[in-house]
Amino acid sequence: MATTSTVKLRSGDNEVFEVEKQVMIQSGTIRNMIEDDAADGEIPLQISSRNLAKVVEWCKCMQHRDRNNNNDNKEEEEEEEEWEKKFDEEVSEDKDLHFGLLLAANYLEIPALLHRLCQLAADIVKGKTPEEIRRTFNIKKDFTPEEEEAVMDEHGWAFHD
Amino acid sequence: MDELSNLPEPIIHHIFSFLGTIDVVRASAVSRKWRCFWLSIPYLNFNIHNIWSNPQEKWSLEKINEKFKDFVNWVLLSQNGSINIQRFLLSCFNCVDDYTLYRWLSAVAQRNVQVLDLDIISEESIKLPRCLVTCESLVSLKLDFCKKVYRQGVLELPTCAGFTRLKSLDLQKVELLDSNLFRKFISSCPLLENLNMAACFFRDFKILDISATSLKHLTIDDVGFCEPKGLANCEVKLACPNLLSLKFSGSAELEFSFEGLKSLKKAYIYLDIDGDDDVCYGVSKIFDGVRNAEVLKLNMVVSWPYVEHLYAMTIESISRCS
Repeated sequence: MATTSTVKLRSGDNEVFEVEKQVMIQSGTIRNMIEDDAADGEIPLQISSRNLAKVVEWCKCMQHRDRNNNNDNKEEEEEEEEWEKKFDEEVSEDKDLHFGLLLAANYLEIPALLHRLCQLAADIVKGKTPEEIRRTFNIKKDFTPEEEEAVMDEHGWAFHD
Repeated sequence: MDELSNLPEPIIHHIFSFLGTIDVVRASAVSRKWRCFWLSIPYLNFNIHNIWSNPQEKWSLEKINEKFKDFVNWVLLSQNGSINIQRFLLSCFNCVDDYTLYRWLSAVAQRNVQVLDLDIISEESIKLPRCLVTCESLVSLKLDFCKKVYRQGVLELPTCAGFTRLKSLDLQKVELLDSNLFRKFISSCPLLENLNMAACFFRDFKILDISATSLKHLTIDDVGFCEPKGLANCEVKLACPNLLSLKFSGSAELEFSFEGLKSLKKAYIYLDIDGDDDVCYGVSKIFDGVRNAEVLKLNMVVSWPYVEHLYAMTIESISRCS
């Protein structure tokens, strides 16, 4: 059995984060390591310190919220909502952070975080024309003229309502 | 390649799962890679109310409905039939009388649908076709029916056994016709853990009998806006030995018999109390039934004429006699 109550995470750029195990077991990947007693040393992760710090912060907030789920503390509840709102805004406005966190949440197997980030990405895509989507995410339109014609033929009525 | 297109396909599907299928099809004109996402996405979400903007200005209702059916048919026809459907959401009207609904349900059952969510306005009663009842992949079923505004739509329950994997059943604004069939239906779903019923109408039910050993979470919300009220003059009988949480909202004048709720941890009871009711009997039956609960939240809306100024009631103390 592991003896310490914390786990050390080393980011891709060599910053070490010491976090309570109780917080990090939200990550399936880290939970498995703890259960296999493979988490006593530092866990090296291919995640930048900036993104890892954000993941840890998110996990702490969620754990805090789950623990307080049964108390009806209005003030704390509002604080947490405020934090989540800020998190959403920050992520939605910063594509590097957003995509970095998506990959991190996927790799660390944190379903709730992945779900939230996917929803935020969907909110950005929603209601946009293909051209607007391209501009927002720097996507190159790589159709040949023939392909483009085929796309327009095929879906014509879906775009022209 | 850009960061979004470079994400692993399951993540892209996850992102698209929040969008209507129309948006996913539209997005296929973004780039080469995006062109095929809609053909393989395992989440389908068709909602006639938000496919086109202000369609009534251009087309008649019949025309809109026809275009909607065309769209659903086109997607189902184009998609690779070997890809299992994880979730199928459908919100529409006038798709029952010409059997369109049943064709779609048959198609998604063949593609091993796991989560099915139907929101349908129909004058006709809707039956659950056999192919769906015997569909072994289905884990979650939500039915939200409406005949017209504020009137429940009729659901014909299956007479054959099935739903072998069903874990969650959510019935909203559904009219049920046969108490015996309903009892059998519920108790024959071997894995059913969550049952939610809101604003349903239990026509001519003398007894609403929910006896299910697998059931863990039960919500009965009888305070909906629908008329007629679902549980008038009906006995509510629960026999669910593994039930963990119970939420009940409804009239206090019903006859309650809660048997053997041995595992109950949380009970949320919201009672509507009318002036003439003898509520003590009903309330005492509920307390008796939920006596194993660790958390009990009780909410009462009182309309006694002699407490007309009362807006808050506090229970000062609860003494436990052992």
